[in-house]
Amino acid sequence: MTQAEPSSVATEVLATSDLCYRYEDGTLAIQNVNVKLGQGEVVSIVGPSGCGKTTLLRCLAGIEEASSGQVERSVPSQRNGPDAGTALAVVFQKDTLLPWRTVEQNVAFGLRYLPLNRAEKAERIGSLLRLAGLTDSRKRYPYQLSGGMRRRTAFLTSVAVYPRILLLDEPFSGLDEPTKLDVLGSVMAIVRELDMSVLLVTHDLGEAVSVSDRVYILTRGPGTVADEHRVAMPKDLGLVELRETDAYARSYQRLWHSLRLQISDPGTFEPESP
Amino acid sequence: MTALPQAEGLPAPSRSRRQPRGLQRRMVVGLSQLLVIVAVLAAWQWLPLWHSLSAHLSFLNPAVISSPRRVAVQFWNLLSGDNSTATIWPFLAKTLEATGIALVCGIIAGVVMGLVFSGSRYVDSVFQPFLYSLNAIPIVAMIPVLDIICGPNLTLTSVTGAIIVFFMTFFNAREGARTIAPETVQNTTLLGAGKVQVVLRVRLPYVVAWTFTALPNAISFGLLGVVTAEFLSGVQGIGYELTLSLANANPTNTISVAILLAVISLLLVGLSRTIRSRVLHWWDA
Repeated sequence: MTQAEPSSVATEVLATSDLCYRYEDGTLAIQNVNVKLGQGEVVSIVGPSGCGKTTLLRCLAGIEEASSGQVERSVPSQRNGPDAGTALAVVFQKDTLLPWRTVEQNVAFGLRYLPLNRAEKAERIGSLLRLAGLTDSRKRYPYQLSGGMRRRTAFLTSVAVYPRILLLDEPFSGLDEPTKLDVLGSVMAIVRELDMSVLLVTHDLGEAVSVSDRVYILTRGPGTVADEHRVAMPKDLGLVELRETDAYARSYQRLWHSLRLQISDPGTFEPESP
Repeated sequence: MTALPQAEGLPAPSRSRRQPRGLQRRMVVGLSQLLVIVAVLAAWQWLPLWHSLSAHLSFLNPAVISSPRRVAVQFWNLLSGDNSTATIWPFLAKTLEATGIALVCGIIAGVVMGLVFSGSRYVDSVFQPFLYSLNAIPIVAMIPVLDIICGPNLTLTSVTGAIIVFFMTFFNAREGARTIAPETVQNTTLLGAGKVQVVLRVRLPYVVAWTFTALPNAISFGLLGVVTAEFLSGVQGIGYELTLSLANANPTNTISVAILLAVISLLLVGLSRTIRSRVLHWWDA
């Protein structure tokens, strides 16, 4: 196993210790998974299909209860004041927009459960819509939106509750590359603006390299952490420009090499030094 | 910018050309429908007068099939009370009252039960066979039993219609609530919604939307249930008017009342479709 540049995380907001999850039929989905997420960090989980990425995310979100091991969250469950927010939110791969609510109403859905007055809610919604470029579409219904706009709205719905931890489950799959980069750019701008800690589950290495501070590579099912990579990309570049840099190409190659070992039959490929 | 070459002989698709073509198609369809109506009415009016034909085909006997002219006159008499004919309005009012009660009660019960059954796998497993069995019983067979329980009154006709409406909306509502993606419910829960809020803000709108899709059929069959109950029990209403027509061997009146029923049903269904497309515009998309 190549343990590439293991990192130390300054202030952990989320960590797992020997996390295991077994399906009802007894199949082990993930085994002894140890991952950490630091304050303000963007961490990606990458791995072959069926390695348990989504199961891991569901355990982290508390949707599924782990069979053994622990999930430790060190953020308050709810914060008050003008920046009132929740501890955690998820953006699912599947469309979770409520079709009878407009963009604005979808984004506002979670705010009704936070101690905010009407003006604070309106201000928050307005600023988020502006950041995502959806101000002109605020009165539209989901069926009137393009795929990229729907993903943006779904993202804003979860982000509007100002979660300290944001879990993204392949949120951009199904989008064409230019749209994906466009949406991803808006998403990361908002994430940085709100200083959220993000855990992104993806099968897209380019996506992981573009936005992550660290990347965990999972083994084939039952998934466990095979590698941990630190990715240092220039933050001042746009995602399109970033993809044309040597740093991006090198990181992509390093991650691909690590992932290839998990995709291929073990023994077919000999590990090379990164 | 260089314009793309236009293929010879092929007209350029343009909005201004497509619209008249659509209008033309609608006019052709409308005229065809009008022709069908005229042909049917003409056949109905004149075929029974062809004695050699009506002698062989008993249903073409003018005493059995009446004629469009006589039906039209009787239809007007029923509405206006002319020619010492008792107007249909009191009967119609009773039938519509029972249908209204049946729709309100049946839909509310269907939506609530649909929510309960879709929300609890245990309740669904236990009661599903009973509900399927009850639904399998022809409602006509239950009317005498309901007559004994309720008596020959508005309650009987309303309950008969409500049972039909209930089953139609219940099965639709239950299926509708089952189409909600688990991720949608999980997301709303993560955003802070409690169990009651998930029911009210997520499950209920889906259930109502699916109920609306069943509404046109529920109205037609609810009305049919009410009329059948009136027909069999003698409770005042359109069904009773039909019984009287049958007893007096008056096919003209029977057909007039049947046409009136069809018109009322079409109006109600049209109204429900209009409300549905206004309220659930997001659903139609």
